Amino acid sequence: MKTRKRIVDIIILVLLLAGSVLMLYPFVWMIFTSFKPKLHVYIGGLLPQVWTTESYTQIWGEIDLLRGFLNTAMYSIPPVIIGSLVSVAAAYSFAKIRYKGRNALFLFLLGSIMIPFPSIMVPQYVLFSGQFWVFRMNLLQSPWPLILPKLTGNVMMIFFLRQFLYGISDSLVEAAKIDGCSHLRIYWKIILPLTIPALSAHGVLWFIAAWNDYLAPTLFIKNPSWQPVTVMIAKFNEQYAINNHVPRIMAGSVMLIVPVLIIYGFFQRWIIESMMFAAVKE
Amino acid sequence: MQRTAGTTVAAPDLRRRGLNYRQKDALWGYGLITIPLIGMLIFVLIPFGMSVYASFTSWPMGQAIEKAKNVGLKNYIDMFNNKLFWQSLGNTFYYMIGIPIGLAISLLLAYAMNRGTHYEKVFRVVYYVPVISSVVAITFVFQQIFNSDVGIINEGLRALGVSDPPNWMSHAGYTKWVIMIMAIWKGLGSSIILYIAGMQGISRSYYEAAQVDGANWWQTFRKITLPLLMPVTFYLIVTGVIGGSQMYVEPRLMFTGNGPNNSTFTTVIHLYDRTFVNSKAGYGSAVAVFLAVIVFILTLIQFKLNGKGDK
Repeated sequence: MKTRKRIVDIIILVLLLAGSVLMLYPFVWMIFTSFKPKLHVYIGGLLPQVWTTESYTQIWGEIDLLRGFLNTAMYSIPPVIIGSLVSVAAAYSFAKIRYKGRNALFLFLLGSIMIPFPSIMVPQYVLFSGQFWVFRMNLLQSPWPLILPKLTGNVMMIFFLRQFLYGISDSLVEAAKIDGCSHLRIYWKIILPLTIPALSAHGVLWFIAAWNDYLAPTLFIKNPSWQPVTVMIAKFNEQYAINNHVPRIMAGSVMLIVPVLIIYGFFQRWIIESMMFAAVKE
Repeated sequence: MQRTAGTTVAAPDLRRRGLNYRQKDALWGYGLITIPLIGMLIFVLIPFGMSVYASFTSWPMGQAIEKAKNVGLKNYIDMFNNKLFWQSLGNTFYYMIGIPIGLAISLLLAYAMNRGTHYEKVFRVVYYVPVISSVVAITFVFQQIFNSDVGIINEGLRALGVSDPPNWMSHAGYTKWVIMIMAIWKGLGSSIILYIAGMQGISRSYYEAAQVDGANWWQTFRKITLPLLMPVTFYLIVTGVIGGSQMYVEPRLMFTGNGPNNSTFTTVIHLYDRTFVNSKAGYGSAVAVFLAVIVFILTLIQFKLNGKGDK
């Protein structure tokens, strides 16, 4: 029985290792190819026979990548943090404060996640272009269209945090109230620390989605200097796809993926645990 | 209650107006949900109202929506008579064949990664890497991996003795599979994590009982693990279909236009091109409303069945 289990363990380990090769090979191939000279792509072989950083000098010289990264960070860090704080406050209200119409308002809010982004993207574009009703400011030349919608919170996040807060006894909040704590104080001192695990799990998901976003910025950001790095590199890659300059395209993809991989490398344990945590709450 | 009322600015004010603590509570309750509600109104409800309204007009992109001419159901009739629309819808749903395939693979992998070995946590991290990677970057990589002449897939097939490997990128019979394989590969890690979390929620006592009864691996998996993971599977199918019905970036960046023989473009690409390329925003809005109806029905099903599972 013991030896049988060992054999099964080894077979599974080998299969998982083989699977890992399949999962990681595209990344390895991408990195090595980005260091090849253009025509060496046709020679075959994973490792470059001649190493060149030409593709990287090209991409850094041709587009303002630093600006792109700063833009992306601006779209995915402060708005997600503020939006998360707003979401916790709303979840607190829906889960712990009693008032008329609470559940109806919650269901109403929840209804908005049923409307897919592609179904509202054209009117959103019209709103941001300042051509409708009271919306008279043209924001398409500014970074605001990728910031404003996140500031008002994330309905999915509110939904999960509300569930999470339901699981916590009311007595904690009641006791704080009897002690004379204001709602803001309860929010800041009790609710926020309590929700940190759930909040960070969903915050990370939101952050990754915002970092990798492509469709919304192509629609709403018409000023090239405000474009996030995804759009800049997609343009760069499409341009070199025409004359088949594969190493340059791969250099573009490396620049897009490697920063996220580094962040992931530092926080991988925590991210996976957060995802498991979020999954349990689903 | 009054002891530290001075710490909040609002409290004395409200007291003077004669509000009791209940009403004060309620005010705070409403206050804390105001921002999300305003956000929903501006960024979801008003735009969706505009989409519905515009779908009954001949609104040309770039002109004021309120001046658009009413054309009744014409856009919907056009849409249902448009071969391209049906093709885009067919492609969109064809891609969803990948959902059950991906789920089956990730279920097995999750099972393999949840046996209590000391190395399985490393695998969870590895298989999750594609999930966090930019879809834009990945799409360009797969475009090259599936390149008919120099791509690694065909090089491998040739090495295995296939003399004439498929033209993945240009033959309409294969193009959809390139996207599907990529989407499955990219999504595995996420469903693996959800499945593992689900498996860890199953009580040990079931497995112990099965062991006492002498059940083998396969019987345990089929009779205990699989049925008890049904909520997770169901969640993954519904979110997969909802996400799949909004597919845009992958086919857009991997293939030019609608793909060889219109084989890769999706309903959202159809919507986008009609609106921004052909300037037919009224027609595009009809497609947008149609898409919303599909997603609405699917979400409703999920909530219904999810709610059942809770009770």
